[in-house]
Amino acid sequence: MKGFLRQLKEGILDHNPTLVQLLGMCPTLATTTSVKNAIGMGLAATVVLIFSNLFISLLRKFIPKEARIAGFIVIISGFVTMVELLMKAFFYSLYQSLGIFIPLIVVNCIILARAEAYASKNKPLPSAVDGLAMGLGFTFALLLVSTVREIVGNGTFLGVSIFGKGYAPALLFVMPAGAFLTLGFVIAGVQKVRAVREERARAQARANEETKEATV
Amino acid sequence: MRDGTMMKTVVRVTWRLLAVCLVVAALTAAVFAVTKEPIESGERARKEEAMRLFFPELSTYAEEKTTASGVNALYLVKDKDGGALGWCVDFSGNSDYGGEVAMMIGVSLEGKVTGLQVISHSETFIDRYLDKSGCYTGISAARGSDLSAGATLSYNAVRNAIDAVEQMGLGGVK
Repeated sequence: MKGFLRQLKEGILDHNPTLVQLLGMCPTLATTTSVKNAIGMGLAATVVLIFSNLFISLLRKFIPKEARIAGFIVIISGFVTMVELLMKAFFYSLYQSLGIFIPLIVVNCIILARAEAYASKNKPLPSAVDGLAMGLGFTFALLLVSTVREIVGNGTFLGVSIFGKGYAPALLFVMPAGAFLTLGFVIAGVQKVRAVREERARAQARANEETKEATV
Repeated sequence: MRDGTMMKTVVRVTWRLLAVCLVVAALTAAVFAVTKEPIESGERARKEEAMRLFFPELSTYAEEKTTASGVNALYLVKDKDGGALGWCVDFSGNSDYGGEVAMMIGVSLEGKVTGLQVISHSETFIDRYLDKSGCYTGISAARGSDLSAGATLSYNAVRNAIDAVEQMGLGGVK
């Protein structure tokens, strides 16, 4: 249980694929015009991450090392096709909103990176949990960026008006330039928080060391 | 000897990759079988909804023969008394950018285009040119205008659809 929680924390906060590892920038910039799209894209990528990680881990001894990337891509593209079919059948409006970015999940570098760095070297259950943690981390990043962009650029959150009719939306934020600006500020904020936490941890460690020396 | 080892490696890699492909294909086929019916019924419902938008009195429709390029189907729309209301053209065109754009075009018995609705597309930015019902706004003024300035390539697909309908020369029913 502790391992599971640690993996979740690492995926969402410490090693967040988007905000810390800076992977998956393209879908982050493109699909964060609204919170609804961001949640849809995040969950679709999470499902693909969980199942591709699980499947790759199960077949890790069978997939030949010489052609492992080709094998990974076949598995990932298969699961993306399945997610696309399911969305087209049961979540059509979301399927229409995300458009070309659903098939493009195949080339989302977070998925291939986790397949190569984790799933191909670990057992199925931890690999599936890693997929869940990284997927939730990706969704969290999309949610942060899309919340800022939808509120500032459209005056709404999940389609519900926040500032009333009098609000003149800053359209720049729903345009590509706004995506870069928002993502830049969000990453800067996250890096600041991480730096403060690391500094506090170092200070705490120094204080513990000094206490230990004084006791001796 | 070295050639033999190389050949063994190639055969091993090939059959293992083939096995992975077969397993993934089987899983994909299973999901396809489950989703086939909901996807098709959704498409049918959206087409009928589009037809009803152009012809609210629609009661039945019959498919007519056509060989026009890009036209998937041509429907003669009728009211509850069996009287002809107009035509609906199910058209698919390439946007040259984001893949296929499927459209339904309404044509009156006088041969005039009464509306166009995008049924499905893979574009990323076309939605800003659609009104709340999904109708492509300002279609009558679209030619030569800047309406689609941000989606010129998608606009090509729409323009080609209108051209195709014009060439079909649809009109009154004898």
